Amino acid sequence: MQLDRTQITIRPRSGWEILDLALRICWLQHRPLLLYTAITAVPLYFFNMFVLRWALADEYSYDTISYYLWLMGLLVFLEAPLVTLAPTDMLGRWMFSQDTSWPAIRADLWAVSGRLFWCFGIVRGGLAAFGLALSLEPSLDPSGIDFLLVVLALYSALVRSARPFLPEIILLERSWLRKRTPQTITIGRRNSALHGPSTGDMIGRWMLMSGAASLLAISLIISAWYCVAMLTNDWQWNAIMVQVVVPVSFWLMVMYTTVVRYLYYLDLRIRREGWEVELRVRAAAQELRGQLA
Amino acid sequence: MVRDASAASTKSLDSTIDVVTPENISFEYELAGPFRRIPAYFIDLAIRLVIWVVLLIAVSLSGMAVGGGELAIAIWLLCWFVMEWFYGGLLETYFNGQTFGKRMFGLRVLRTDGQPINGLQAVMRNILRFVDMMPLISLQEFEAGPLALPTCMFGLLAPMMNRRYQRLGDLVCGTMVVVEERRWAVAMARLDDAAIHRLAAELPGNLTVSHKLSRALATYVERRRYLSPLRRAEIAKHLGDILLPQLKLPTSVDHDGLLCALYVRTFVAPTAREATAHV
Repeated sequence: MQLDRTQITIRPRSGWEILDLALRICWLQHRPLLLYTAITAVPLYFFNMFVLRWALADEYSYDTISYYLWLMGLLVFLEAPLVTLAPTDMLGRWMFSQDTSWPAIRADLWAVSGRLFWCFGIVRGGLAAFGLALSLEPSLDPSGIDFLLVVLALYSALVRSARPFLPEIILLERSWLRKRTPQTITIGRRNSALHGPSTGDMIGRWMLMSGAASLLAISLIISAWYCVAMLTNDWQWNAIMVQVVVPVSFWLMVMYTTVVRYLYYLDLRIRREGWEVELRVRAAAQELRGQLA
Repeated sequence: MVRDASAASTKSLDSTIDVVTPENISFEYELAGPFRRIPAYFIDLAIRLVIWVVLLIAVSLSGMAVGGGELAIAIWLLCWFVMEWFYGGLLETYFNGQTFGKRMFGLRVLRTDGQPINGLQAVMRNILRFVDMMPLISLQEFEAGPLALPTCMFGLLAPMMNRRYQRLGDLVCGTMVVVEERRWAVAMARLDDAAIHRLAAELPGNLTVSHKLSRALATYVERRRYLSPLRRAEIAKHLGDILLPQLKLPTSVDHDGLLCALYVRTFVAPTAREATAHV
């Protein structure tokens, strides 16, 4: 691994520049990104369709479609961290020109699976989201479960905006849950050290990213609507729009936000920890060690 | 002559471009992609809206005064046409590639070879914005009048697919949008600590450093004042552990101080360059 030869130039960037660069990376690395997003997004797509199957059983009216999409959006939002894990690991490996094949990614994910389960499944409410989704009542009238889903989504939004880089800390820095030696940097400690002094900045950037992703999703959905309407000569929203186009657009936006979040993570490490300095120094040390050997 | 920062396979991906003038002076510009341009676009849109409203009021009042309502509408429509199609083109022609929005956000349109754009390029790239906004969804289907909803899908896809973030209008006209960022050039870092200079003097006289090490030292010393002492120690340890025994210095020497001393010897006072030893 050549530490000073990275796929993306290591330098501080503005939030706007990162949004543009993420678009470019999505295009250049679309194959692995789509593949690793699909690995978890496709099963979740069918899971969501299964738990919401009753919502569109009778008719495609304005009320049923809007309620279905509202619940679908909530579920995608809550499930998004799970979908971002494999693409995050792939980006970390691609950055240093390492192997990005599925066996390598799978091995990485397996090595930290316990930590991922605890942090995302328990602490960040992943399991609770699945439990609530499975207990949704087949009624178009909002129920208590809907309310709990909204509360969980708000909790998730708050935690994810203030502490966005937990996947990177677990997958790329391999921090531990508990101290193994006195020098061990635990996930909690690393989380506070990295995010603590920049919480305001993190929330601002998270909002910028959410705004950009929403704009992209709207643009994608309306463009697809145009294409479907041109092909079918029907401007009404039908099953293709509601059950395919909109959920797929949501998952594509999750993929885009994964890239943006990874670039924000790099940027924060550069600004706060002088990561580019460390890479250069370590590369020089590597060279010296080679000469001495 | 233009060299894209991301063009060569050895260079890493970045949103910058190197422009080399005929005088062989190189400039590095940061490119503006679709998201970077959005705030400037909305400022220009707001300015156009304000002008339309002001014109509407002025033309209506003057129309009422002279009793020529139809003429007033015709004049207003003409103004609307000029504003819609030539606002950006005219401003970019006369303000050297900038509209009010672009000026506010430090953006400028240049030719891909780094030269200023001409009037034809300015007008054409603005007229072709209409294509970048496609597909347009007619709102007549929803009885919302003769309005169309732009999706801007072409304007998003085209910049993704090329290194200069050019939308279709830019590709046709051979233009690109860059960020005019004023950066302070980093001069030689000042190290006032006397202990560093003492340590630099103690370093072996026959000391030269490799290109990679000198780059690492320069980056480290430029950025160290922004890093916490703990972080400095953590970074400097990577080199310090190797250099201390090699330079036959006691292990008590601070790694951060050692890198600074090496920097001083390499860049500030390279008095012993006739030396033979290599690090």
